[in-house]
Amino acid sequence: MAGSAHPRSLYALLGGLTGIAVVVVLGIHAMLTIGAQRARLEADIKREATTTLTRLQRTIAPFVEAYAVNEYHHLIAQEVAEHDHVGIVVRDDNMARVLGEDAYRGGWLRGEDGRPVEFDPEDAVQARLLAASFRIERRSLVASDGNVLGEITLYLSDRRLREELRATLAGEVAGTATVAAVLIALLLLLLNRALVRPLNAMAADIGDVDANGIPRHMPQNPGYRELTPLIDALSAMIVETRRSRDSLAEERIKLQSVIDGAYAGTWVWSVRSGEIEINARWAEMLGYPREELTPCTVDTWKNNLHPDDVPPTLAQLERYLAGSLPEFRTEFRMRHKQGHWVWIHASGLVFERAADGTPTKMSGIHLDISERKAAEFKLQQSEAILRSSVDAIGEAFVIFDADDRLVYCNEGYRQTYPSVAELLRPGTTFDDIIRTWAERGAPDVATRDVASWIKERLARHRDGGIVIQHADNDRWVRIVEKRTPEGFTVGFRVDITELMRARRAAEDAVAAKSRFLATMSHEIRTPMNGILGMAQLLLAPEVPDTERRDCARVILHSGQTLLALLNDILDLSKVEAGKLTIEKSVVDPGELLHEIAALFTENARQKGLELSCRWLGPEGRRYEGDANRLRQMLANLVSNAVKFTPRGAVTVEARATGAQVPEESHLEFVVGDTGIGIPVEKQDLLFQPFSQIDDSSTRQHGGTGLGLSIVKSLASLMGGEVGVDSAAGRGARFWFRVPARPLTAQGDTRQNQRAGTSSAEAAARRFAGRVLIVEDNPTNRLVIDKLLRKLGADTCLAENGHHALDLLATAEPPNLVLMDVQMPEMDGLTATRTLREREAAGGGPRLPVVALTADAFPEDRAACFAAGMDDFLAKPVKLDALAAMLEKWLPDAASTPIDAGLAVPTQPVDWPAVRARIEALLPLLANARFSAIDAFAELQALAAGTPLAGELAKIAPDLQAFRFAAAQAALTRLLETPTADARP
Amino acid sequence: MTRWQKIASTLLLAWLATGWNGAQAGDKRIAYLVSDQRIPFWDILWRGVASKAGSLGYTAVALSAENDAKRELENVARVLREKVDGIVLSPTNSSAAVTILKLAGKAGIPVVIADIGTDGGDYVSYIASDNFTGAYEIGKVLVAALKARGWQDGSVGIISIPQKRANGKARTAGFMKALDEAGIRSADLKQQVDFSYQETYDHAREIIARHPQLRALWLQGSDRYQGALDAIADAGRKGEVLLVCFDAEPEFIDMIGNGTLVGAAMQQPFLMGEESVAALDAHLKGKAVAHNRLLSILPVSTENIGNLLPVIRRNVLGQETR
Repeated sequence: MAGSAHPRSLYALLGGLTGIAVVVVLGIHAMLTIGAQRARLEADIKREATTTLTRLQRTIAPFVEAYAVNEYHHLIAQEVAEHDHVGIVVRDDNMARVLGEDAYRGGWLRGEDGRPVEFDPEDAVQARLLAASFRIERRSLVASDGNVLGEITLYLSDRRLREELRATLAGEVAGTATVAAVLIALLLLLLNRALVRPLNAMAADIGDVDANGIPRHMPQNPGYRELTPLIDALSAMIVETRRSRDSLAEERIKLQSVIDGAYAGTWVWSVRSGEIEINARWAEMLGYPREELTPCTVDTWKNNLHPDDVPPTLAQLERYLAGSLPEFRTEFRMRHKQGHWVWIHASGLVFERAADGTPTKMSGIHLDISERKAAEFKLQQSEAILRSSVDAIGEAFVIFDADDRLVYCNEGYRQTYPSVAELLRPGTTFDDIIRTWAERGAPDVATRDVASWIKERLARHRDGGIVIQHADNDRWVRIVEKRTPEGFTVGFRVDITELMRARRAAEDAVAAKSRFLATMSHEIRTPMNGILGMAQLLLAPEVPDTERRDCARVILHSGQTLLALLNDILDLSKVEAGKLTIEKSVVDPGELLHEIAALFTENARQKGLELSCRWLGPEGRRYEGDANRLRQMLANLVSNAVKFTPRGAVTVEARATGAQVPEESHLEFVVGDTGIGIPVEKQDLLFQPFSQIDDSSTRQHGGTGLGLSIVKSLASLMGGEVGVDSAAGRGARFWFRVPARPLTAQGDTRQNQRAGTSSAEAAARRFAGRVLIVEDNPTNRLVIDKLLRKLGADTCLAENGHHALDLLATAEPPNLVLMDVQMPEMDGLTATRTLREREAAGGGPRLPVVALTADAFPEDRAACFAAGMDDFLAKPVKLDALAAMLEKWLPDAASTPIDAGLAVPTQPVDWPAVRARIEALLPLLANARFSAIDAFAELQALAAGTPLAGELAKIAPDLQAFRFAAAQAALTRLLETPTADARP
Repeated sequence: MTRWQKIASTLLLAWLATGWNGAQAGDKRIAYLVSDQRIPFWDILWRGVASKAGSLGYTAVALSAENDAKRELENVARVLREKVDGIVLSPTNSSAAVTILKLAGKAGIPVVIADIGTDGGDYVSYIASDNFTGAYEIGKVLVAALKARGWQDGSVGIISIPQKRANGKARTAGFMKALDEAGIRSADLKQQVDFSYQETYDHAREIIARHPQLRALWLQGSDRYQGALDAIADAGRKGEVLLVCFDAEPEFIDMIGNGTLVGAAMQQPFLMGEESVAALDAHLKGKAVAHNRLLSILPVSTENIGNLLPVIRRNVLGQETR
């Protein structure tokens, strides 16, 4: 049928109707036959049931009569199992009477699974099965005496009936089917001859077509008048089709000439079959003759696509076919026959669709764009090489155009300026970039005025040249910028952060070294001045005994100061080298504090300070620890406290903490003062070596700054900790806490010996004139005073520059000023400058000022002259140098050679006094008392100038190194076996 | 009617009068359904039931069917109506037992079967005598007696209960095992049919006559021992042919003592009654109970009767509780 996708078969329709008629007739016949068969079978079953029931009636009745329930149950079970009954049930009136029930029924039946089961009157399923029986037959059970015992019921099955009817039906169906098949075949044959064959002949006429599918012949009527309208319509259609063919051929020729002129490959794709019709140019682009690629399919195209181009190309094609793209237009590579790749520009459109809109035909063209692609690739490659080269330099790189707009920058440039990273894109001006960077806190602008920085930066950018810049993230860069002939600015940022850091570290190291050397120089020269000065005094003839002893004592104390300094340096170097070890000995905190009190009471008293030491733990309790190191730590803290406390008190307290558990027991020492205190922000520096809170502190109070560092190192070595609580001007509270296991408490005896000191008489005058000594250190003051007096000069004293200026303003002016440089309150340089200013203002004579300082470096000397001083004398001062200076600046003085004839007189040993001292000293050494050091020093002073001095000098290093046992042994030997010269 | 039967009847009347709720010892009730309490074995077994039930706090009653199927069913119907807590059953036959078990099962009443078995059905426990071992042991007693007299070359005749019964087969097999182990020949086996004196006498005379080497007779029952003794005496073989029996009569104690009987294998009906109630009690208390249990049979001889006498009086003759 025209227009239908699946036309029905006329032949099949007629054949089907014929077949149905045959089958209906034969089926009615078969049903009648089966009905007759069923009636006969039912009669048979009824007859057999009657027979069975009669037999069971006779057999079971005696058992019922004899109450043999189990026996007749057994019989029924056998009957049900062996025959095709649904079930047999007996109503036993005897049992009902015996059991007192209305009815007693027993029996067997076939369950749902076909197996025999015993009858249960209360089972609903069994009741349903029995009720569904094909037939139910009943008989009464009668006793031998004629009484009714009950009833037997036989439930019959229709299984046999169904099986036999099924067999009959099968036979009828087979016979009917055979007859129907023969009849249908004959009728179909007749239909074929009369109708189908003539129609086929007509179709064959129309089917004979030319190359364009147009019939060559007009259709002929086979002789049925019903077909005449159809034949006429077909003939008219064929004539019209032939005319259209001629017109189409002309259009095609025109189109082909256009395609050939465009030198394009053409393709027409049948979407369903996958076939592609291509022209010669299509194949030629890939190096093939057209025939070699024919038949061409979509697989031919896909297989020649570059693997990388397959997914995107197919994706675009699918999107176009799905209607997501208006046209299919893309570029891809295809494999040339010779193996290389050809770049193709492809475009196409669907020109035919199925009724549901599915594309069925698509056509388009291929253009060879390989040359254009090659040119593009070369361009990209050049650019990539350039960029990678720039990146390979490893430095930040940037290009600005002639208008100072950013053209390109690499990643290194962005990393250099992360705070303005979002601006680092082509088109941003250099001005915008640096202004924004400055606003966002550029490190390079930190200490500058922003406007002036920008102005300067723009100027350097335009001029070109090298700039060192502090960039983001604490990086340092060297900026090198150059102008190109085209007016572009090419810039590099070279990272010199490490270089800058190394330079800063080197500068810091040099500064630290200079500071240390300066501190050491000052700290060594100061006591050295005392030693050398006093030694020279001692070498002078006729030194009175009392003065000689004072001199010796000064020398001794200065030497001890030097020794302490050296010990501090030695300890620090040991700490830093990891060689300092902690010994285990017995510590008696009470005794330790007693010794500290003995050590510093005099110093404190001289400053007008009150020193108190208190042990807050159990009296006499002893601990395991390093007594010598604890003594050293306490001495350092107390020494500092005394040093930095101008008035008030210093308190030393110790207590035990955590004493309940020996493993957790600690000793805590606290040294408090009412001194100048330490600002909170400076406290971190306190425990660093060579650090005082500021340099003026060093000048004001002296010291190396090693003490607290050593205390901290020793506490760490002991497993303890140190700390400070303080604020500026509010005193300080230094403490340290170290582990100390308590030992059994023992009583102890304390000894404390302190020797008094005596003052010396002034020396005879040799120079006429009065000299003002401005010196903060009392020892140095004493030395210089004694030296000057020895030289005959009159002296007056000032402790600092301020004091000196006051004296100069109020008292009779001296003839000469010896001015120390580093002093508290006002240093020598300031004082001299002020003096010169006063002289200039007042018009008075110029007072000669000679610097007398331990700051002996050339720059110190230069600073002194710059401040207005007239001469320079370095500590430790030599008597002859001092004399020369007096001679130079006190012109009226008479000079007397003082170096000649100096000799150390040898005096006899005062044995009773020496023995008494040694006997007092030995127990101190035996108990490792720190006070032994002072006692030994006094012994040395007593023995000075005697043959015993040499012996004691040999013992002194032991004591200074706290080898108390060795010192004790040596002193004991000295008492028992003194040398010939030292014999009492 | 024995005294026990009278007591049982009185108890039953009391039950019926009080609707089972009368002044009985315990709240729980046990019924003993017995085929025929007139037979001593069942009566002794009932005594065991009653004794144990009393000691455990049950009220017990015996209902005898007098060997009548209808009466047995009526007894069953009665105890079902009364909803007893448990039944000890010695049925008229093993087929009737099936019907009784079904009815009891339907009513939810547990049943312990004593001595006579069942052809099917569910029960708590079946307690019976170990006939095979009992016959084997009494066979060994006879063998010892023959050897003591130097008669081991003589043969032994058997007058048995019907061999279609399971207990008859077990008794014969156990006895033959003892003879085979001792190498003593079995002369002949005659089965009892009506269990009459005459039948026993005739079987014994025939065996003695046909086997001159006969040295012993084994009677598989107890009540017709006199027929066998008379046959031996009448055949002129008194003192030459020994007699050994199965089961017991009260006079066996004296007869075994004076040597008239070599020995007897004695079942323990009193013990069986006790064990039946014990099994029922255990079941009612939710304890596990053996489904089948065999009680030993005492092999009583002249040598051991002195020692076994207390056990025989109690467990075999039920005299202990009188």
